[in-house]
Amino acid sequence: MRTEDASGGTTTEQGFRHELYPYAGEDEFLTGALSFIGDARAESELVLVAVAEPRERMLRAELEGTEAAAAVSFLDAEALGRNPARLIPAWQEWIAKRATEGHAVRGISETTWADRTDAETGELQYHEWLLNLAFALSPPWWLLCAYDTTALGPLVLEAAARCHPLVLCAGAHGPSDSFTDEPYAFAELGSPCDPYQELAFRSGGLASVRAKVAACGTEHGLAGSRLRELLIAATEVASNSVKYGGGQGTLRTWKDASGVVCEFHDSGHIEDPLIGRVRPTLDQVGGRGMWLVQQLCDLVQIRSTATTGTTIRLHVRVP
Amino acid sequence: MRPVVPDFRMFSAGTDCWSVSGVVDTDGAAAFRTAVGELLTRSALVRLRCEGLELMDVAGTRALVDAAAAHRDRRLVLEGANATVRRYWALLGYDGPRGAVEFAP
Repeated sequence: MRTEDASGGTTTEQGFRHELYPYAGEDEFLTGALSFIGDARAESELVLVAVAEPRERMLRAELEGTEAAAAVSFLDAEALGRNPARLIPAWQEWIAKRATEGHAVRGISETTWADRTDAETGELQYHEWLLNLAFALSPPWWLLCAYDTTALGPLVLEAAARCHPLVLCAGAHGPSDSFTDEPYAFAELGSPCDPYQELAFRSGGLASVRAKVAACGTEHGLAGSRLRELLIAATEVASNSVKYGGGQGTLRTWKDASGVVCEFHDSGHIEDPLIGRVRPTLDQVGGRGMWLVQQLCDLVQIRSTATTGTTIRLHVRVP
Repeated sequence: MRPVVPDFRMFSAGTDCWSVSGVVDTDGAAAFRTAVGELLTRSALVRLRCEGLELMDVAGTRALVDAAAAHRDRRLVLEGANATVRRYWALLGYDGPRGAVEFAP
């Protein structure tokens, strides 16, 4: 992979290039995306595009009949569900497969920010920050993250700017002045909605945890496979509290505007920010529980420090 | 510490066939591993009827995989497992060609 340096020369880049592309409107989106694809093709690189359906339709129309079309794949990010924790493994899987085949790759991503809860927006922003960590040691690849400045609020745009080391501005790729290479600053989780239920649990108490979660889920319309999936996720998190979180934990359950929330708190400390976001291998010992939790829940919020312990909120939307 | 009581039940449902119901979780995974392993030492084919199996967590799933892997010359078949069990079995990657457990309707 090559890119222009500050003096206009060309350099070979290693590792992950995470670039923000703030654009204004559909025409500018197309200009930037097609230029990026054209540059990729000049380097014989493949491109994966993960954007919402209207943007995908526009790009497909522009690429139809061109030589570049065969090098561009589209990822249906909507099919992955609402949980942004599923995006990193999806990118990893695609990149690893192409790398095995000997292809260099690029990606274009645009998140759908509309119709998101505050919790979802916060986790989407955290996902952007985690990308730098997830691919810090990956084979070289370049991800262009498109943000429509005419549709998004300043807080979303500012948060995006802080997470992208590079920026595409006025057709030029370069380092971003707004990027901050610091630990992620989470927003406060906020208080549970009233009324909430609380249960203290310890070893041998997983059935009680499930009973409490089932009562809340059933009361608010969860049934069948959706309820079973929440019960599995709750069992995994509670098991972790017993095994790694000081032998006990506290469960709170409530309903918020979008669905059922189950909050677990224990005294343990999760040190890996990418927990649950890397697909476990068959031979791997451990590391499957939180992977499963991320796959089964619509959103998972994890806050963990050595001093305050770990709080995990599982969100499942109700009809 | 209180004794941990498994949340699952197993009973004979015919020749080499056992019915599993309830929940196989971390609290019951060791007992489940022992029970399935014992059945596999006795029979070349073990069928577990899972219509009554509500759910199985990662520890329970791992117990089943480990029991089957320890008896590679035997067949372990899960029959009638619900869609949730099948889904997370696939999510955990145990449905691939190296899978040691078979699923059947």
